[in-house]
Amino acid sequence: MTEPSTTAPLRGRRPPAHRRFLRPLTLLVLLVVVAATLAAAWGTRNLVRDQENRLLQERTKEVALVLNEAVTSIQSDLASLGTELRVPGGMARFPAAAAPQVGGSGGARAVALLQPAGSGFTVAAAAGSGLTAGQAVSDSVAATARAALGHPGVYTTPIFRLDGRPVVGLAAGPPAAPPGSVLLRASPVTGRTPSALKSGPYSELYIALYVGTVARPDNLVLANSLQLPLPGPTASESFKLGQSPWFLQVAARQPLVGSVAGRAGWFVLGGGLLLALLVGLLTELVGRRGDYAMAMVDERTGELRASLDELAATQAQLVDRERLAAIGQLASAVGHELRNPLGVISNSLYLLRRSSDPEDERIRRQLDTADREVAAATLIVSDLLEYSRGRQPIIARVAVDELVNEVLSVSPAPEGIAVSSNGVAGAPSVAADRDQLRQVMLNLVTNAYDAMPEGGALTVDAGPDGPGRVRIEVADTGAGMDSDTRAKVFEPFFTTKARGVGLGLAVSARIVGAHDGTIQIESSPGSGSTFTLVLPAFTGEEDA
Amino acid sequence: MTTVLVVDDEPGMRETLTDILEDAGYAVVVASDADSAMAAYRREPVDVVVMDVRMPGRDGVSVLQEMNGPPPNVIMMTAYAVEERWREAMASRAYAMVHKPFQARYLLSLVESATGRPA
Repeated sequence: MTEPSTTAPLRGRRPPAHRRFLRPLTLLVLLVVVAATLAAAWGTRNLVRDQENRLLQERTKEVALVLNEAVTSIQSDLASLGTELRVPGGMARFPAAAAPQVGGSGGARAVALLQPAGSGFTVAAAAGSGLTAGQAVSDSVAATARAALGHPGVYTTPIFRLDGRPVVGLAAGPPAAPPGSVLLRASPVTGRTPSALKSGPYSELYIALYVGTVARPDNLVLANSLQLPLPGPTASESFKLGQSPWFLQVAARQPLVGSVAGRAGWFVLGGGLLLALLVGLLTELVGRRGDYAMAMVDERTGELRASLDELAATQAQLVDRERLAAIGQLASAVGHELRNPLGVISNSLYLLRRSSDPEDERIRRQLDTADREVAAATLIVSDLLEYSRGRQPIIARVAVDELVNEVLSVSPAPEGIAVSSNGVAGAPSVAADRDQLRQVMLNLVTNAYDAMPEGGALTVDAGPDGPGRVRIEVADTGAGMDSDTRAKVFEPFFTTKARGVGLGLAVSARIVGAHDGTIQIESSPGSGSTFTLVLPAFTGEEDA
Repeated sequence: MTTVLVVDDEPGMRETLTDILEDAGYAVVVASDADSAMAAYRREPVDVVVMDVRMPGRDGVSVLQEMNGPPPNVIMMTAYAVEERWREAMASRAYAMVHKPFQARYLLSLVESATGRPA
């Protein structure tokens, strides 16, 4: 019996080889996670856009509010300024003392008269702080001034800085200003401006201001110079300044919710793909581990099943062995009980033979038959015993001719069978267990008799068979055997005879094998059988 | 006259052996167990003993071992195919060992050679 094989080697085992690519579950998980990632990225992108648009709308309203405020104050200032400056014959001097009064209502920082100089404009005269005569104005202010000079109306400038503060300017050409010049009124972007706008509120926005009929925006006139059309998403708002309709359009110069937020979709996409990779990897690993474990379980189950089968086989063998042991005990007991009466019968037959008339052929034949039957009965008992509890041979010198003569005298030939054993005379002795070899020879001779019910010839021959080997042949002229019978003849309990248990040749083969010898048959139907034993020759050692 | 002591618990075996040996010209004394065998051995001048190994009470090998002094030749008989006492019997100087059933002629030849002379 083996111990439970908990230490059976598992090294060198591989998971099933058919998982070369990803498992279906892993593919499914990957697909689901990637799809979810795409949806999330798309959703995030839209969310950010919505947020930006909402912010833009809010900013637009704020800007509109501020501009409304600023421009309204500038317009009122400009109205009073206009009357003051409209002097016959032109106006070269700008009364510095008038400046504070000018800015009374709107908090104006500066009032200036701009005149064309080359491609730009320079300040001809200025009141307030930040602007001085002769100074060139910035390009964007100059562009507004050109528009004011070319067409009557009031224009706002882009935000510019005076003394480091953001201001918005209101520009007006003739008739408000002297011919050939533009009046500029610069006011700080303050007042009720939301705090977010106070520190550079326009740095993040493109702002386009139009004046015209709001109902027909395509007819609007651009009030300040800007890159047009505005880039990216825009928001717009219309409002009234005095009697004029104004149209404000705003676009974000920078993403309103921050550059990182703008890429949130990509981040979600990247993160999701990474997650998909991780989850897929994890699923695959767990799955493969599972497969491996299942394979292991299968293998173990197979091993257990094999062990069980082995156990069942062993048990069957044990049962067989026990049965054989029981048969052996029975055979031994029965054998003992039979051998004594057989011995008595044998002795009685001897005495009968002694006291009968040796010339009486009929009596002699009957006594031969009785002797042969006693020998056959003894042989059955011996074979059964030998089969059930075979023993190791006790090797000694056995003279083949003596043994053959004894066997033939114990089991005399039936009527009609001629026996020739002249060939055994002078054969070398063999190293054998005499009782066992006698049993083998009795089996072969008895079988030969039984193979010739109609009579025939039994020939026993012996002689050297190569160095150290002796050959003994028992040949009959009986029915012979076909190949099927030949193949089965040494199997236990196989018999073609009407009597006997079919152990004779099985036991003989086993005995010969235990003697380091061989037994072979030469036979075909109709041409008799020859059994050939080859045994070790006796070389002088008494005991093997 | 050569005397043979036949020891066997089986009456049939005792009777037929007696007849066979007497027919061959020997004087025969019989015993059916170990004690009567020893008594006969001490009482009679026995030349050869033919004795069964297995008998009720003490067995033949113990009788063989008890027969000390100038030992007669003892031929042991057994009805067992595998006799565990075989080696012990041979070690106790049994003259021969025969398996039942045996050929009467074979036994007679053994008795003859054991006495060293024909009956």
